[in-house]
Amino acid sequence: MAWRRRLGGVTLAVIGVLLLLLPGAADNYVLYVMTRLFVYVLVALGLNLLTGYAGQVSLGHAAFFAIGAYTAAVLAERWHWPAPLCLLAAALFTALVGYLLGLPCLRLSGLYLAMATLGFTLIVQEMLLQLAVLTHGSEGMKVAPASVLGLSINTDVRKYYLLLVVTAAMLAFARNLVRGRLGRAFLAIRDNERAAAAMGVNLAQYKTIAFALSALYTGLAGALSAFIVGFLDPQEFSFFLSIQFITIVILGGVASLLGSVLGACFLIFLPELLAGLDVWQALVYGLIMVVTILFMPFGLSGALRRYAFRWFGMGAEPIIPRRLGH
Amino acid sequence: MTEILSSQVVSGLATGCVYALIALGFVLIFKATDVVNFAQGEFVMVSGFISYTLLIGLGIHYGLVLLATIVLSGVMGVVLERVVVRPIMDAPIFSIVIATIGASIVLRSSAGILYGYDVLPLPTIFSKDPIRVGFVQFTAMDAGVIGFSLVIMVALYLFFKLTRTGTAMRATAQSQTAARLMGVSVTRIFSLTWAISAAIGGVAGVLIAPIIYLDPNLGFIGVKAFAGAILGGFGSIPGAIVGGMLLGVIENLSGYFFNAGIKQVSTYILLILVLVIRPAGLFGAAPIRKV
Amino acid sequence: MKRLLTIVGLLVLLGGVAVCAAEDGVTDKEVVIGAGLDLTGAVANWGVNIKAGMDAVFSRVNAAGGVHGRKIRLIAYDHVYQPPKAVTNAKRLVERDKIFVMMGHLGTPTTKAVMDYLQDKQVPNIFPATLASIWTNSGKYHVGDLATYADQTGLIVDYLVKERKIRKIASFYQDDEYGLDGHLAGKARLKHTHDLAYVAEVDYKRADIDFSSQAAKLKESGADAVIVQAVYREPPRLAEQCHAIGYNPVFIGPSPIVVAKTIELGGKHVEGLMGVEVYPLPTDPGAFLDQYRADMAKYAPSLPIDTTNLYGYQKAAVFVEAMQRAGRNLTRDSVLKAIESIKDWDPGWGLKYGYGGDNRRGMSNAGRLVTVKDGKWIKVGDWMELKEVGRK
Repeated sequence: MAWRRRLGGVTLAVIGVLLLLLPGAADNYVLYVMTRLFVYVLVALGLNLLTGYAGQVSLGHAAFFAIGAYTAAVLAERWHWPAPLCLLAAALFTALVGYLLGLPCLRLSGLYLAMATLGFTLIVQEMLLQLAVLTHGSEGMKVAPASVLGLSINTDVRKYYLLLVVTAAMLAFARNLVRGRLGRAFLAIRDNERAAAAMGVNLAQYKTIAFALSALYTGLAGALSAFIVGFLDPQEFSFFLSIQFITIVILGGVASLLGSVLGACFLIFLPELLAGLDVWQALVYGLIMVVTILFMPFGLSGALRRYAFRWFGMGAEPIIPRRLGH
Repeated sequence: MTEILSSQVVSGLATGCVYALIALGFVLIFKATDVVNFAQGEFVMVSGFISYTLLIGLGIHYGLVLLATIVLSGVMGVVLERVVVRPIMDAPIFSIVIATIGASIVLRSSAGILYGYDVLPLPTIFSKDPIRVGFVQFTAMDAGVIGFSLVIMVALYLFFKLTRTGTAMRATAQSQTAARLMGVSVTRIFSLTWAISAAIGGVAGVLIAPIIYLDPNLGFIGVKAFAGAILGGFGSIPGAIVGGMLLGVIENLSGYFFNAGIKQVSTYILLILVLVIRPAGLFGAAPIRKV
Repeated sequence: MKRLLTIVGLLVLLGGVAVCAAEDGVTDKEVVIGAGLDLTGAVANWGVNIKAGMDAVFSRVNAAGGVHGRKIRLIAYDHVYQPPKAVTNAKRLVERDKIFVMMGHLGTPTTKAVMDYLQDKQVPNIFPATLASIWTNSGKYHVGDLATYADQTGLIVDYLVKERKIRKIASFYQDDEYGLDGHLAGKARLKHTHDLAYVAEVDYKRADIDFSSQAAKLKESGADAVIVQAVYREPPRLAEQCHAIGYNPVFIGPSPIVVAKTIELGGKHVEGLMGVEVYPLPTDPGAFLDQYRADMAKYAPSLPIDTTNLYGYQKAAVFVEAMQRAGRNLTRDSVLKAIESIKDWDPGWGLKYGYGGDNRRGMSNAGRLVTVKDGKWIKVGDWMELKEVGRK
């Protein structure tokens, strides 16, 4: 039994070392793809906290992502804030917006919540265009590379390490969250709101906290993405992006941090693998997506856990309620 | 002023009717199976291409094309249900939703590969010349779209009220277990629901494609229709109709009084306001929590 | 003597190898060209056709043995019109596929996103598929293509005010970077040259399907001419809805509306619609266009003859000309110099290319007015050099 428990830790350590050594072996293209992966992992973690754990479906995360990205970019451009402060401010400001959005959304659930948050995405996208004084509107906005403690994060290797460190830290933070009181409260709300309330979980408080936390992760991801890509355009933050984000979470596996990572890998790596296919790319991508969900209806992590349990006796069979967020 | 406003309302109603038809497709499937079909917009797009192929490629008469398109769209709905939805009917709802998103990508890119991404004009029997009734000015096209949509809606209402199958479908929507006990084949009803939804999408496609032209991205109109369905109350058939129409009119009026940006977001602002006051939409019943 | 020749020969060969090795994407036998296009997204129609047009030229050239013995290989990736994805593709093209130049990169926001990166890596950004003003004044590595939307709108405004004596002009524009370029240039031109202003400024979104509210506003403004900063699917619908409320102004717009599709979609409603052409129609006569039609029939038989693929085709044709001029010793610098050496060059369709001029105005700054008559685009004026019009 002990070796089984240790297996997880060893795997994690091996992956960690490989990730640390990667820049020695990979070209800039691979490193850039990896940084985009880390950004998506951060978003997926945030969205999974809200949707997977607390059961609140959001199609508003493209908006949080945009708010984070533009907050950091505007602070850096207009008021020349140092990058770490920009990142922190972007994350906190997005969390505040998330908290405020969470308040009117308290009464909504399931599809209605999804639609209201989708509306939020479209409204924020329009605001980015209208607030051209700050955001340069449809002209797009250039973002200078971040600089941390006097070190300019302007090469792909530096961007990679910055993202690696932040993502690892935020992953550890999320792990502590979901294993603690907060995570248990979220799950209780998702599975049965009345029962959770009866057990003393303050629904309103925990739901808005879930919104704020989720927005915090997504805003931070957006801000990092702004510094990495170096160019922002309001068109990018459409409802498609929101749908992409929720796809990561469902495909990866709800209420699973591993699922967030796997889902992000799926969404980032698959198009790169299919890049030579020209117009056929979208078709093959769609087919793989359908087949994956048909064979792994509980997501990649659900499938992984099921086989880990069946073959190695690790963990437990995953049980996920059918009516998520209903 | 009244003249311009009334014309705005009429052309808004025409677009709104198409939204309503697509919204109906969403709602029917949702009521029967709890699934939100994100490929509903793609039904509209594919049926547009079906009728284009029959009409231009094979030169078949317009009436026959309309009939064939409705039938073929229905078949497409059944196929999609059998292949993509039924195998994972026991999975979490959102997995099924993601499966329909995957299906929509497949349908969209297939259309792109077969027909290219350029827009195609789909012929129509309705003229685009202006008509004047009193002080209201509109086109025959507007009138045709509104009339045709209303016919479909009434036919659907009669089907649900008067036929045995319709009654069985309503029973299934209320309680699958009870329906099964009464001898209703629930799987058959599911297939039928998808067929009807896709067929209505087909009608919407034939109506809207001549106006906004045909291309593989036509299906994105489904998002607006979805908003209409939510506005009316997802799960309510009158709600879908009213919500869709309301959305068309509001879009036009806000476009007239403000600019394109406000036009784009006005419906969503209204939607959020409505939801904050009535969390289940205008006509929706308060969501029943299944404990 | 023989030994001397051998040594000289070896040295030449080594020199050649050294030169070739110095530049990415160029070997003795091959030149690799990269393109970031939208092949499945919002403007996929342009991406697919531009690629087909470029491929048609390169296939013909390769079949004839290539340019100075080098075959041209085009690698294109799909950026789905998303800036972050465009950056991914650019890095892949530059660092993995080792492209020689980036060519025909599609979309204004996507090309802006890769602009600095390409400059850092000193990879020329040749003929990006966007006629925004920015590519004509961004330095050595960015080589603009044809007359910009801004310059075209200058021509439109001058024509309306001077020749048609129209003073009530309205603007109908797509509310993004594409539509704003021409819209703002028109506004500036009206103000500075004619002391006028738009009587109405009406915008729309790219995916909008109903323009009845825009039509009503335009009618109320009483404009006699409407400048449509749109692509080809909007003018027919706008004209229809204007006619439906009994409003018949002059509709006129820049090059993206001058395609056969506009007429196919609009029918009688687009009779009298005017536009600016920056290169001939694919159906026009001319040796170059004959070759274009033959190449498309041979190498892209599934695609119809269309303005969109002709756009890619002419890019590739000019680039091949530049490679011919650069000679066997092909470097990024030599090909950029070769492009700059093109002056008064006509591939055989009446439109002359000439690079540079006062401030790097791109390959050609010619335009001419056309109109729809009896279901066909016909020319109203002759090619003329357009003046530079800023957005401010």
